[in-house]
Amino acid sequence: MNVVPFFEWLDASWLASFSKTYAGLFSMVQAVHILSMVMLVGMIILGDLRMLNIVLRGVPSDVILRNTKKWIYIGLVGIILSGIYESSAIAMKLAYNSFFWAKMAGLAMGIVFMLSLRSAVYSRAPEVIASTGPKTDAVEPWVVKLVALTSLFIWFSVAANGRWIGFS
Amino acid sequence: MKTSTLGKVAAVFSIAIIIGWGVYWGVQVKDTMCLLEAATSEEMPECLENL
Repeated sequence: MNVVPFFEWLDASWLASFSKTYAGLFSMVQAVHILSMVMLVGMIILGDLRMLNIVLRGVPSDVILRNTKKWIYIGLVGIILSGIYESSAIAMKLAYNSFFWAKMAGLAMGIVFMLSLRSAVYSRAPEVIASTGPKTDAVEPWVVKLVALTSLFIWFSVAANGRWIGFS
Repeated sequence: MKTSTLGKVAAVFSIAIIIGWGVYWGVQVKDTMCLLEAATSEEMPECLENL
């Protein structure tokens, strides 16, 4: 699928001329993008490290997962909206940037993984099940840890690829 | 979905993602490091021949 025409359209759009004209605003949107990424990945890391029994062991897992959910979605909306604005200013550069495409692939994979397997497995983790249902319904602890490691890996690569766009 | 099936599906997908994504990302980082080396050194690095 040839996506270059889409980037050519984006590069010629009113949004691109706006973002290219106001450099100060672009810097602020960049800051929002980074803060949103920090919030999104930070909340995900918190849940994953809790499932690996590394941080906040005294706090029940389901409490952490429940309280981070809202901030994950807010962070996600923030990075997508600010990301669209940012990419309009450098659309043609991004169209040929392999790290941009790796970041997009990682982001799509991370969202799908988070909403499907991560969510399903964490809701049936032994610690969560212990407080909500019969223990026979729990997923094996090593599977929970494997899912946590995979989640950490995906989101680390998304953040690293995003940072690398600026150097490539 | 049954819990045992979910566990197996999650394990298979997680391992596939770690290996598949790891290989893809590793190659990409390696290629970029090679290009960076080519941009900063006076001689052409050997890794450029494999790109």
